[in-house]
Amino acid sequence: MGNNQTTLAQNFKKAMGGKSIYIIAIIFCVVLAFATPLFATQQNIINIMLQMTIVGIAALGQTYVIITGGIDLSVGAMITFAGCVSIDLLLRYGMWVAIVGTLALGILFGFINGFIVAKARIEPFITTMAMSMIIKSIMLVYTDGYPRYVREGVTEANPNFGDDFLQIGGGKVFGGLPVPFLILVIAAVVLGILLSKTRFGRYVYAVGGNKETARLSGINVPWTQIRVYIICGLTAALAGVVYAARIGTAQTTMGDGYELKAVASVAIGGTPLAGGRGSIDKTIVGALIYTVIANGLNLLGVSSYYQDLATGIIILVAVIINERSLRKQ
Amino acid sequence: MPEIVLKLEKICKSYLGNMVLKDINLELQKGKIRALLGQNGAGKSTMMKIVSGSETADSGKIILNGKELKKLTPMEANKEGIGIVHQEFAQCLDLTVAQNIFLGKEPLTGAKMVDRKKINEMAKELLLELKIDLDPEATLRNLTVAQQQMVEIAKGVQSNPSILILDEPTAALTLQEVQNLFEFLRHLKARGVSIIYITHRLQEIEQIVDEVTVLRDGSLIGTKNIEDTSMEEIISMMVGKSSSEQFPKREQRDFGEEVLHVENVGLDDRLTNVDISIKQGEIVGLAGLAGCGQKELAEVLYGIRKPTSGTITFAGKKLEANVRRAVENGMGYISESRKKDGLFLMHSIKNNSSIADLKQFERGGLISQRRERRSVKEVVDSIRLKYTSLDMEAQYLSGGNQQKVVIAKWLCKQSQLLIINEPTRGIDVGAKFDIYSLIHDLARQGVAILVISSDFNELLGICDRLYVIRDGRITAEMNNDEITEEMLMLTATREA
Repeated sequence: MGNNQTTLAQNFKKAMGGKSIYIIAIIFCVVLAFATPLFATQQNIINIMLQMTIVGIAALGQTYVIITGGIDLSVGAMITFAGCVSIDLLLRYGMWVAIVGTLALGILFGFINGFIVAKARIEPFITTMAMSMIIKSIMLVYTDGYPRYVREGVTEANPNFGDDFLQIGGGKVFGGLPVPFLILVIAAVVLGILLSKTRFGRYVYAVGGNKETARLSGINVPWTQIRVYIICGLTAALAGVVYAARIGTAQTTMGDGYELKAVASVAIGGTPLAGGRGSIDKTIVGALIYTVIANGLNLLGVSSYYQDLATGIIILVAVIINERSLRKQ
Repeated sequence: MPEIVLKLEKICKSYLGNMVLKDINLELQKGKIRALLGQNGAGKSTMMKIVSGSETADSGKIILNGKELKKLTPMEANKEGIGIVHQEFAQCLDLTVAQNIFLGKEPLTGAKMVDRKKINEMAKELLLELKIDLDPEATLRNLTVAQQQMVEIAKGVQSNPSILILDEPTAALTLQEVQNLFEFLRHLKARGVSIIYITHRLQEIEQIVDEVTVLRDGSLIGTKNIEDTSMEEIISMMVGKSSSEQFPKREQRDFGEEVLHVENVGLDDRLTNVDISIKQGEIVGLAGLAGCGQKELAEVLYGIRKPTSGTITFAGKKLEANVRRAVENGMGYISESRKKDGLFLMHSIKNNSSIADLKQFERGGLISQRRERRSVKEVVDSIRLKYTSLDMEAQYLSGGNQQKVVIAKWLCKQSQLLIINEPTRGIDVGAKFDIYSLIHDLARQGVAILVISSDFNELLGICDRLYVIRDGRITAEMNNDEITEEMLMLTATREA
């Protein structure tokens, strides 16, 4: 009997090896569903989808960077810049220019980050922290500190100005699925396939696993690094556009703190900051857990003074459990 | 009766079931200089680490001045008067010369702070005595390797040891520095200090040494007075009888066209006028003592370093210094440190093996898992890799199987030339044979192979042809049938 039980438990552990983060996510949801009747309602589930969108998108690019053993602390600044620029471009040139132009800007910032990290070989932490300051400052000079509003473009001749753009953040498709969440899903699928099924994806893991081996195996290490920062800049810009479209405005602090929220999502998902391992699906689960914690604490009416305390503890516990299950493998 | 200061009785040591020292008995007299000789892996360094307390023997006794030392730690060994100069120095590069010499034994002021003035004075005095021209306040990072070596020596003698162990102290030194060191050693000897001197440079020992002890494969082969022996005898003691069963039988093969042609290649002062050539299916050895430029040559060939002169032609194309180009053209490099730069330890056997040529598995931009698995499985089965699953992480494999995974990487790429540096370092004896047969198999399939090794027995066991490299120059080229290991050793050690 006892023997049987252990093998059963072992088999279960083996099957779930490295996947314990999914179990943690499910446990969280079940506990909250019992703790408050407000949790498992359709409205709240849509809320969670919306809440996890911005951090989720930003965390996708961050995952790539972290797997190469880097980190991008300029994500928050890039989100803010992208939000402001997208509305400016929208007011002048319309939605498509706003989207394409902003994403191009994200690519440019990402390229600069990657170029400095790969070619000047400056620590990613320092590089992107400095870039974060630079981007923030340029943004303050550029906006002069004033917020932007999508509806500024409304005139008598064009009373519906900005409706198309606001759909990106507030629209619904397929009978209720929020558009931003759909964007997150599409971005996650595309970036997930790129990471797990292509040569470039393998190189990302290789660079994070062992730079020297990667180089001697004929991999272009600097170019791989530059590309992951470009992807991170791109997802940060996309997050900024979606964010601006959701709230219809952009101001100079909107992206503050998102760099660490993105890192937290990646880490909760079980991707080690040392690089070489990790995946997009784990990051999505990480972002979900991060969002569900905040959402649940709100629903339970926990004072905002205590919320970060609870979040911090829950993150630590989740990461510890995940680490242990990995080590047991 | 001469006074015995150090006595080793039946010292045994094994790592992971691998016996590296077997029943070592040794007696060292006061005021004598003893050379400890042997090939790489013979157990010299391990033996000295045991004596100096940084390793513990599995069994046996260390008796110092009639007293048995038990559970020796480096600190205690030092207190008992055993000083050691390690081969790989453990130094704090950002501290000064004086701080390094007196690390852990700093003179203190009344307020228990390090007495900076005193430490510098003491270091100055010591350096003067050693005839080392160095500023005690210089930071170690700014010194040359030779200067760092001298600091290490100063550190070893700083505590006035009664027994001083030097592990290859002259590898990085110039001739003049070696002479200064020898003069100082003679001076120590006159003061009654006993010295154990490990070296690969046989020509040095006649100048300075009184007795010679030879180790081979973890056993002590014998001890001789330097007057009663000859270089030939010492070498044959080091080499031992060649055991044919160590290596797969070499067979006569026909070689194909020339794959690699190196002409007049130079690299600063590390390589001079190197000419070598390798044909398809040929196994060529590069024999030399440690630090004679073989690693540099490998790195130049592979494009890691840019040669300062000369040309490298590979498969009919002139190569620039570019690793990616070298890999694309079909060159593969297996370095001597597979964990550091040969493997992705946390990644699977499959991902390690396929990484150098993922293009062949791509269909419509995506990697076909099916093709990749099939291909990798074929390759790793052909080299008799032991594994339970292709998804097993490389870190959980044994040294020999890890080496096979690195080889698999270049087989998946279908490389035409493999440069293998120390093919069997850190691999146990049984698995060595497997690696050797694998190298033969590859050659039979037409792969050209350049083997670099400091184990001459190994080179003679597997190579068709050999180059001898000394101080960055190719000093001899010979066919395997024409030479013995003794001759090879003589050629590699002889002053040019």
